[in-house]
Amino acid sequence: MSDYVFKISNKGDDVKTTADKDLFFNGDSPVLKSFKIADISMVCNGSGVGSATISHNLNYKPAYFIFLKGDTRDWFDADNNTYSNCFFPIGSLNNWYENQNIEYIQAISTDGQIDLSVNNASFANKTLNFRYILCVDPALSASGVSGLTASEYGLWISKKGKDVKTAEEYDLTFSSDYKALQFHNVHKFSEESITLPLNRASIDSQNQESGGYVDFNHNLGYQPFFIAYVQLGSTWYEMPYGNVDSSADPSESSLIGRSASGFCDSSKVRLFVSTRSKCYADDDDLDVSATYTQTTYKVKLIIFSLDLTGATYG
Amino acid sequence: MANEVMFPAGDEADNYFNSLFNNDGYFGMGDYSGTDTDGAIRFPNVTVSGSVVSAHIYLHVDDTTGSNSGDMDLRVHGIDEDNTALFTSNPFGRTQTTANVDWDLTRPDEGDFVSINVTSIVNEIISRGGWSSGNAMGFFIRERGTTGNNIWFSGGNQDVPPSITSCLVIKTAADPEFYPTPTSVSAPTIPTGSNYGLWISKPGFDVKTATEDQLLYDSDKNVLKIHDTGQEEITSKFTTITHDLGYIPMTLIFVTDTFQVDDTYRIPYVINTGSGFDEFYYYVNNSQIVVSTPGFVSGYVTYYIFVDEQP
Repeated sequence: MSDYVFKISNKGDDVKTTADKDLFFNGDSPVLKSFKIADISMVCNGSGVGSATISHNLNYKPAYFIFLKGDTRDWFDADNNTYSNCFFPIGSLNNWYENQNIEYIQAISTDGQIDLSVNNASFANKTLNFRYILCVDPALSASGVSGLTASEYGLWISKKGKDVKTAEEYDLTFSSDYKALQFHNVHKFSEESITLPLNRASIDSQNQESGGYVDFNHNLGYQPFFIAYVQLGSTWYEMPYGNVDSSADPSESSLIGRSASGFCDSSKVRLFVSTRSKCYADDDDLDVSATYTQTTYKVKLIIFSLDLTGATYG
Repeated sequence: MANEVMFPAGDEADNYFNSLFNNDGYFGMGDYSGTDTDGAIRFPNVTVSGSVVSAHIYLHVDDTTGSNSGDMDLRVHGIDEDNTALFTSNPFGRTQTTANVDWDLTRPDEGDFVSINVTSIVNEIISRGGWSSGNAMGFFIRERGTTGNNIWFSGGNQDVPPSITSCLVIKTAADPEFYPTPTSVSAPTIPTGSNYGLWISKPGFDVKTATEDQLLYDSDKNVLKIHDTGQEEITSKFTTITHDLGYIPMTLIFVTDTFQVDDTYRIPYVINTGSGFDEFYYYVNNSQIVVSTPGFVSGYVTYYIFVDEQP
């Protein structure tokens, strides 16, 4: 810790004594800095194959966040509504997405670009729309020239030991050239619960689904960037989460038996947990993919101020 | 399903060409060259008491070489006994239940399970004064006019076991609520902006009037603050990264596959490989992060551990 540092505390807190985790800003702790926020579309062909390239001109692989934009579909007896202009973090199954198969969307960070690709028949002839956030901060260690050009004026704080005038952008703790990922503390929601009953498929109910959700209303009036977690056992996993089971169905080698994900619209973030148990008679026996005992899942959420429908940047 | 219990068959019998065939793992039904054949199947240790919501017999189809495309016309009765004995002798003279159900069975394929609802029959047997949970329950499946069709079904496993056992599935209670009532969390009151602080607007926007979308930084709000960042080489499916925060921090994780390619993915991530799913995930506790990277031969985990605690 430095003897001198630039700190900002929450209103009413003494900046000199506030714990690091409660500070709004601390010059000793770098912030995530986004240098580009933009949209990209992908047109899938008749086989559901599509690709898109996000060029960035960095000489390293940047950290990134990608959300798929779309409408929800009717799903589960619990809610027969559809919601428009929603954002789904890519990475795993999302049962609320109109097409569901978000796990087929692949995003790879490489030097010079992010490659987005899809290969699934259920996306045939569809146009997929994404909002992406590219960070100055690297996804694999960076060295050498960043490829970014700093302004000639502004506010910079460099990491300890780095000359703020010559430091590469990824070595800056803060730079007024880039947007910081920020959140109001009131948008940190802790530990809401979803209790799902015992779910075990049988020969009489061969594909048994169960699911529940929590709506976190946010009052922002726009679709915000969010990060959410689900507790399984005693540990917390970031969403979207997919738990792969071996399948009972010989036509499928595996399936996502338990998933936790969510979406945001202009009034809420909906987080949900679902389980799916399948039963199938194969050549030897009746097999059940998984038995999910009655379980209470805890979920928690942090909503950022970043507007996913806002103006592009960078 | 949650409230269903499956009971495998114990033994079986048929009267193929008017002779008893039993204890061989299979039984035939239908019309054999003009001779009617009835079947019987018995389920031991049926642990139910009180009336049931539903009951189905599931028969595994073993051999259809004697059938054509027509239906089999069958009728199912229960054996009206408290605890039906093994079919070591001819069972077809035993008293049958009043409740019965006709079964018009479209020709199935070998390997299929075919089912018939026997709820009323099971409830009649259970309502007998002498029924006890754990007793054996039996059924006749009699010929009812089939012409030119016969099928061999799998029986039970108390004598010569078949390749697949037929079964009785009983639902003892209604389904649970698979879609529990959702929760709605009220929106918080967003704090009003300060009259003082540090704001940075995007170029071209007046910082005093800029909207949220036009600001790059606003000291009224928190930022994710990086406590530690680095890389860890992947040497097994699970990579562990320790931290000294003593609470569960927010984190950001990327994995790089350096085998042949040099691709970097943000996780959590589930990908359909075409031959199944691979799940890349991580979890965090008070002292460490554990990252799962199935199938990686070589690579790196890049981590950002934030000072900021998970909500």
